[in-house]
Amino acid sequence: MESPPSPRDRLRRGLRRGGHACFVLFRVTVPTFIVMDLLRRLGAIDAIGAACRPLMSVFRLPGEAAIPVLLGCFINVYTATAALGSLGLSGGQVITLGLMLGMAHSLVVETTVLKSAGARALRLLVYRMVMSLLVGWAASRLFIGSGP
Amino acid sequence: MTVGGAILGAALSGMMFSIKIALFLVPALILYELLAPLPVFARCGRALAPWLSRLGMSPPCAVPLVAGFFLGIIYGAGIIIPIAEEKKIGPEELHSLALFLCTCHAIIEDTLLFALAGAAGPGEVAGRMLLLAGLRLLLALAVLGGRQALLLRRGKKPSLALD
Repeated sequence: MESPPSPRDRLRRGLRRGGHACFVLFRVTVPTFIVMDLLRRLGAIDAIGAACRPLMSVFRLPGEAAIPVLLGCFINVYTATAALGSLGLSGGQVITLGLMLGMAHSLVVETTVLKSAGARALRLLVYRMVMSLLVGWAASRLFIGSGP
Repeated sequence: MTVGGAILGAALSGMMFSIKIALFLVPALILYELLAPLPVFARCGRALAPWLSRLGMSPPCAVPLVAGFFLGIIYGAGIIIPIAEEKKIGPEELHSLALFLCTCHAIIEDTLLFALAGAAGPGEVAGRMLLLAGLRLLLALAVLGGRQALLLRRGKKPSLALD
């Protein structure tokens, strides 16, 4: 057994993790905001929103909310949060999306990790996606007033 | 407005958004690192054991469970993978553990990120974090408790044994 790290080491590790998180945050958020702004000016956000409106309305969310969901599932939570921040949603909508994304995010990386740990990764992947939809539906009834 | 101006504006608002999140995220992560070795937490871990068995896990699952719960699957993997490889944890238990962590992990970082998006002040952030974290924990407990109850009803020996 190694000796427990001193408070100073703990502090240093906390700072390092915080610094790393900030670095990821900046590296991801600034380009995401720029791309989202560009897409909005080109009308792409409206187009994606219109295409996804029927699906997202199940969760009482605007069609554009499909963007953070897809980004979160395929890339990571930071990208999703950045896209979320640039959409300007209501508190209840953010909670609903937060729960959905909490269940299903970084699917590629995390499924790989679980697989290498020896878990039944495919079954877990299906579970996460189904749960995400169920939780999103339930949360939308609880936290978002009767939809549009 | 010129294209350059637009890009600059978007970059600035992206930076403001990052700074706002960093202001909460960094202190929270440091606080976690400083508080984690307190003896209170070790006692909590021991107190957890009887609950773990009800969820289909044995005591060796506690460390990877807590690591994944607070730090996330990817951070926690450093702990989960070696323990799983040592075969201290059977496949059924590993499945329970993974099911729990899929439902509920990285409770500090992930919930904080979502709580911060568009929140008005620290009060709202805290309220949203508690709501998100609490709901996910409840859900994880419900899923695992339900699974154990189902396995028991089917007359199977509830996990723990290697299959």
